[in-house]
Amino acid sequence: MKNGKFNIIMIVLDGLRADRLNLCPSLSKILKKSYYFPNMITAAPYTVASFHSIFSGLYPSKNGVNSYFNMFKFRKEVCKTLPQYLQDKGYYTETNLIEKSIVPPPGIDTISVHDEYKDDLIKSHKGIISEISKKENFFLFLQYSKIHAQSVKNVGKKFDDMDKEFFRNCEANKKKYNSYLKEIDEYTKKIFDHIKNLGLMENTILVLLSDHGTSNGEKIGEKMYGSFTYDYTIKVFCTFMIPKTQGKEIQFQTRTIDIMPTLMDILEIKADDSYEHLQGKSLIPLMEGKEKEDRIAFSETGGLNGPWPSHKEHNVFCVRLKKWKLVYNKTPNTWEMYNLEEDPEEKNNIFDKENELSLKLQKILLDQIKLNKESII
Amino acid sequence: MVGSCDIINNNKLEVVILADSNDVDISLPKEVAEKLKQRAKSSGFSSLSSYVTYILRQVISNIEAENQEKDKKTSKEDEEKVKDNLKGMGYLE
Repeated sequence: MKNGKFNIIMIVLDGLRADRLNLCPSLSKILKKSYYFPNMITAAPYTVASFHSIFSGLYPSKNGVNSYFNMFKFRKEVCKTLPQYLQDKGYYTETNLIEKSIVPPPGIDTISVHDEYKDDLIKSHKGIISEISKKENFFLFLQYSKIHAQSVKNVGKKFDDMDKEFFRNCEANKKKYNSYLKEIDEYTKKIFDHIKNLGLMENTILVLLSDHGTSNGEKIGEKMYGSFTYDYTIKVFCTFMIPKTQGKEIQFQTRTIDIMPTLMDILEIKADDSYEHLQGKSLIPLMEGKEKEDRIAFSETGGLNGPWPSHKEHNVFCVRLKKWKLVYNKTPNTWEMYNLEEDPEEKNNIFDKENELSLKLQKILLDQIKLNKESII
Repeated sequence: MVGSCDIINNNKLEVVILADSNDVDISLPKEVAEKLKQRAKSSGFSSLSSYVTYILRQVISNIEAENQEKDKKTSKEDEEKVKDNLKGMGYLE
């Protein structure tokens, strides 16, 4: 599985909910041929912070991009990015995005931007892949932004975060959202076929993932994403297609911060410990069946809108185990706890400050929040 | 081998820039190095050099963040840049 020379193509299907993959037949076929992690938790349920975490292997409060308004505050002196490691190894690195600011710039040779409303992403991304395939070693990061574009157009610009009309029509919202999936599935199929036809599957790791989910009106106060940390936005998926491997579905809970250490592990790159130490861990032990445990996941956010917007710092945090979730809403200073097996829609808050499990999860979450703020000096 | 040499703080800290290398050698008083070595080990660092570099990176990062905070013009420009980006992504009108 390990090979220091593999190329990487990473494609983010922006805003794709993990619970809708069954409606994407072509994507589902790819998942069956690869190491598929259906229970991955994003470090932050909105693109800017999520991408910075994926690129750094660190939680947002650790890498500095812990709010929409901190998008330029990535702590580049202390955080080494995946593209930087790859560049050190002689790789050419390129990204295509809707805005340059949504990834940390260190280590990227070329950043290009597309118009999510006008551009034909199948055509333009195929062109980028064809060009980059001529390079000896490369890392390519592509953002597929059509769900984002449709959500902004049909929800973001039409409703506000407390709009009753939106929140009482969950079924219609769901139907509308599901209608975007045909296009995403076609994109996935055509891009995958193109990669295959270029003969890249022999020497390229293909990573497909979503960076966050999208609300269909489940909770009043969040019309799209980024205000809360409920499962419909923090549950994502990731899949690794690695040359000469069969792949398998791995049900254990994992985190988006694990993606970078996994790729470094496959490419045999050692982390430089003079930078912030990676908070994620390689997924290879799970792929090889040597690790058989769910990983504790944290997620954090601060809404631009919603009931308690926080533009300068994240103010909503959660810790998620497979069965339990604890949410800390710092601004109104409230706590929520859910039994995710019995209450997957997170409707029944069972937080009890006298309860042993509530207290245990509270300590785990508060310790992590503190850890993310401190250096290990 | 030596590109340049800088003596700082009463001969206690010596910085040697090695030609043909991205690294420099820094000399520390032995008792300081010993204490840092122990701390590096217990904090999970692979070497004293990594640990000292880590500390210095944190110092630089904090200085840059403080300077950015103080520079009101830059802060204002940054905020405008953020707003433009958020408008570009459809989040702000």
